[in-house]
Amino acid sequence: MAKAEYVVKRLLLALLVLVGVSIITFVIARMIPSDPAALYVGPRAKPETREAARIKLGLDRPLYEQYLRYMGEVLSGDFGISVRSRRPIIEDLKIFLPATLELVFVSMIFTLLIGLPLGVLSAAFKDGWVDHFSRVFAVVNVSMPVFWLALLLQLLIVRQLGLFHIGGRVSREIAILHPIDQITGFYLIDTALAGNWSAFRDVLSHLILPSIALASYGIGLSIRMTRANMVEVLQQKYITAAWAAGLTRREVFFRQALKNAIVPTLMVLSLNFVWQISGAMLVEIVFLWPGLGTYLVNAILTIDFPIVVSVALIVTVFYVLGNLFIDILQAAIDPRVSLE
Amino acid sequence: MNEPLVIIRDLRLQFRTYAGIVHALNGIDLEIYEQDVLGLVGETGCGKSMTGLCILGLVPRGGEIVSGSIGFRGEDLLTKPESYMQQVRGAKIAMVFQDPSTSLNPLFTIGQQIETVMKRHQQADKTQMHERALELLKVVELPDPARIMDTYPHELSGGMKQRASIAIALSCGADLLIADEPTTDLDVTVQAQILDLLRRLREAQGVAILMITHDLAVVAETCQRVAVLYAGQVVESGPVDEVLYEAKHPYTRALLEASPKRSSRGKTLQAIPGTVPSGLRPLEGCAFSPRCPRAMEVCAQPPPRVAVTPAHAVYCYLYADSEE
Repeated sequence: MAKAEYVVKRLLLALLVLVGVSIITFVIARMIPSDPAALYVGPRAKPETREAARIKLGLDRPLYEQYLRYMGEVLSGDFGISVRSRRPIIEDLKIFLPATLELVFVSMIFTLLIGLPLGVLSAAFKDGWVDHFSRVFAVVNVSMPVFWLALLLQLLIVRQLGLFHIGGRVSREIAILHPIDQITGFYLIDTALAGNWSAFRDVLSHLILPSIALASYGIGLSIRMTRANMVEVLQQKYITAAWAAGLTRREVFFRQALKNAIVPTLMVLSLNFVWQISGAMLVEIVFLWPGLGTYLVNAILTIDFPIVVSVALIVTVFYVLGNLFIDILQAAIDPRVSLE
Repeated sequence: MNEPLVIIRDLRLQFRTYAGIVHALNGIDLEIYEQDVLGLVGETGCGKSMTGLCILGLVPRGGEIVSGSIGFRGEDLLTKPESYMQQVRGAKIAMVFQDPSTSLNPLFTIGQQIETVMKRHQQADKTQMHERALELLKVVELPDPARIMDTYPHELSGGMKQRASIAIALSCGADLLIADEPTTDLDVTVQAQILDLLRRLREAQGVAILMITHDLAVVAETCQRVAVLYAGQVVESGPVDEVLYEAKHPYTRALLEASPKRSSRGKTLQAIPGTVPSGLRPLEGCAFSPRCPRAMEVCAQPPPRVAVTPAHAVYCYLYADSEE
């Protein structure tokens, strides 16, 4: 009732944000002093050809008309055509977006599994060796350049120990012997759905190292945030009351206290998650990951503005949804938060 | 009178701080009898709450019990490992805190909080626990227990929250309930109701209560026996009637002078001159002697325990010779 109403209200607001962002990115992309029509026809084209392309791409129309036409196409799933490759952008997104999302999801799992427990334990054993260790560990994780960590993992784990893979989403032999049916674009899901377990294992082992590299910042962040909030919560009277009721350490730390301390960490992690959708470029490049970040950077460098606008729109959608998700999650965790 | 449930002897608690060692408890002697209400009175910082936490084995960080014993049903709790104490806490000795709006976890429903404690200490299936939790909410006289089960603390009034936390404390049939200023933060009318509830629970559930308070009126109303604490020492203890109406120790008398009563209407209440001694210096002799109007030279020595009547003891040299 109230919750559903709230979600609908927020989604309508989100739509407004999306329209705003689409206008801004669209206008900025058109302001860049370059001629997409010239790029479209190539360097040695005749002026007539370029003029024909300008009309074909709709670049001779007023800006608002161009925008409306673009949005109409977007809503019907047509993100336009790359001025460089001439490929429909939607076809590229079908490859790059799931690849990045899969990477970001798995790295989020690493972040939560490592960051939260270490944060809780360092608050629980404040100033003990766990705390000292996790403090150093967190600082290293936050401050280490992510591409450097990626290179280091390749060097130490792939080259020296011979584990996992140097890059890519799937091994060539596996791709040939056990081809993956592209259903969702998430290879873990696609292989699991098809029962293609040898490919599943291969995909998973390709995911490990890039996800760890990508997770490192979030791990450091969540350790420190969780610790800070836990230290404060552990001083609360209801925690003393929990001890006085004879509850076990695990119950007090990981249930009674963590539930009160977890929301700020989840907020930061959700922002980090959305940022990584387009910002995982450094990890993607090192691990030859066909992701959205790399796609976006290449588009920016080649002034392929239909791609830039499309990716910006997609990231905005995720940003809005991420915020909505966190708000709903927060209300689910804390009954005092009213959804209004 | 029956056997004491709790016997505390020479309990000494110290805190290491940057300023030095703080002597929080300086040799507490106490007895709590079965189904009895013992009042523990004294000013802020005299060690009332610390005594309660020591019984539960919950000495705060930096604190250390340097000597003494806490006998509970013949077992010295101070010698027991943490795992044993975890079984005692909540099951045999439970605690209710001063401010129910901070002592209940805001993110769990009342029902969840009761059941969490029960699950820890009792073997019972879900429906049995639910039944028992409903029963408890009825016992603490909360209206509409079925609804209260699913409410969060912020949805209840202060008095209802305190009733709920009493229900949690009593959920596993504790023998001793440590009530740390259970009514201080409540409205006056609600205070009376909570005290009344505690009194009836003592009779109905047969639970002994350690009533920690700074309010002599609360002691007069609910307790059978009282111990007066000053600077981490018991200065006087005994049946409420004797201690409050025939106070012997100069500190108890001064405390009574400082409390408002019907007879003091229109008069200025007598403040006690001076301040409580700093815990940073170890105590030698009577802690109250620097503020005591009747202090003698001998008060620099540790005061003797003088039995005024068999149950009424005072730690003061003023009465030392009447002993012989």
